Amino acid sequence: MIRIGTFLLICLALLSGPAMAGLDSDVKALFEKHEKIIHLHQTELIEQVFSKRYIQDKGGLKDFEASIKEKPKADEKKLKDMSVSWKKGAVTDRILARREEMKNGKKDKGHTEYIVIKKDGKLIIDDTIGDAD
Amino acid sequence: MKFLVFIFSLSSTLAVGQIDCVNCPPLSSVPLPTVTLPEVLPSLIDIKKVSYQRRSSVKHCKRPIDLVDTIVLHHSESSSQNSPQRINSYHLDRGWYMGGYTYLVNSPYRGESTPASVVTEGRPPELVGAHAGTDAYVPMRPKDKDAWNAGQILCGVEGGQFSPDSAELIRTKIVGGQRVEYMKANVTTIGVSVIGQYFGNAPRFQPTSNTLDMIAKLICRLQKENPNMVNLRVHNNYHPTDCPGNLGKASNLSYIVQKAQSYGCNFSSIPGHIKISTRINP
Repeated sequence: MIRIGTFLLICLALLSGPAMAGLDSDVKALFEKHEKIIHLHQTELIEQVFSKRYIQDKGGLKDFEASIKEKPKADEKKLKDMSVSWKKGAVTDRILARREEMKNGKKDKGHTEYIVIKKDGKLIIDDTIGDAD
Repeated sequence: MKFLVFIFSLSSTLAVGQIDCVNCPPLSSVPLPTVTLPEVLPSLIDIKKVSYQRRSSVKHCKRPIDLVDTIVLHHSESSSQNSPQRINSYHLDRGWYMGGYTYLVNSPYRGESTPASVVTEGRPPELVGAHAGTDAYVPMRPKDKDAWNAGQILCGVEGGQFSPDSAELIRTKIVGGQRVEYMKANVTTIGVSVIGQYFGNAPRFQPTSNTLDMIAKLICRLQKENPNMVNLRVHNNYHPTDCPGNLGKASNLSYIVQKAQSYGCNFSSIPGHIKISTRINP
């Protein structure tokens, strides 16, 4: 009985492994674009990365663009000073992605957690949530 | 018939305001009994109660509410249009028992009309919240030790037995050669979160006087219900974070404290980013 259970678990891991790896690269690709928007001011990517609801809460596309551009533009090196980890929601299909900025190879203060959802087959940032715990 | 006549005569007597009484003292000389009525607290602000989904198999802790002396201000760092149930759902997705804040404030951003201004209870106040930081600890006061030793701070799962859980809540450190016991800051605090994000210079993300006033009314109501709640703090007093954004500016905290004072309450506050807890890895 235990052997059957172990066999099923191995099968599940083998089947879900590639799917998780695909999801992992999708999450990383999403946050690479996110960093390009935030640090390099490539605001033309906004609608590929953020949901309409998210953009609306930032005051609409124009205000969101303006809020990004009010911060100094960084160089491409800054894009590497970021670490993203993620997990699937314990209750829903949401992905909770944690983006942490690094300083001298160490995690800098605080982090933001992003609520990522799948819309039309693509991952998109729908909301954020604070680091209270 | 006799009964009807009696009622008629009684009502006519009452209508003229006098009852025949032989040798009665005049009404003005009768001492009135002194009755002590329970104090009726003015309802500064309504607190809405809603039902939340919970994960019954997840451990959580109970505490006596009179241990709570501090209110910690947060922003949810999410869309301002979120309902408390949505914040609860996000926290469930983190794997938690339920939402970590004790009270949630919905209030529109500057220049907007939605969402409606309302305060909602989150995780019940008698449960230890999840907001100040799992690694934020404060020295145990004598009354914390008493409550701990009396088995009043207990952890468990729904339907199961609750028991003291020192691994979850207590840490010991040697400070200056002395053994100091610390308790998780979440035990002696409650989290009040304004739903929205208050980062940035845009006017939209500066809290309105209505939002600050709602916070003042809420914390004052809480103090009137539990006079031990005398401290107003912000998340970044406990944890290296930017939360609660512009809500934690000294001018805004001062406004909240002054407003609360005008409602008859006294709070101490300290500026944001001044550390008041010890970070100990869980």
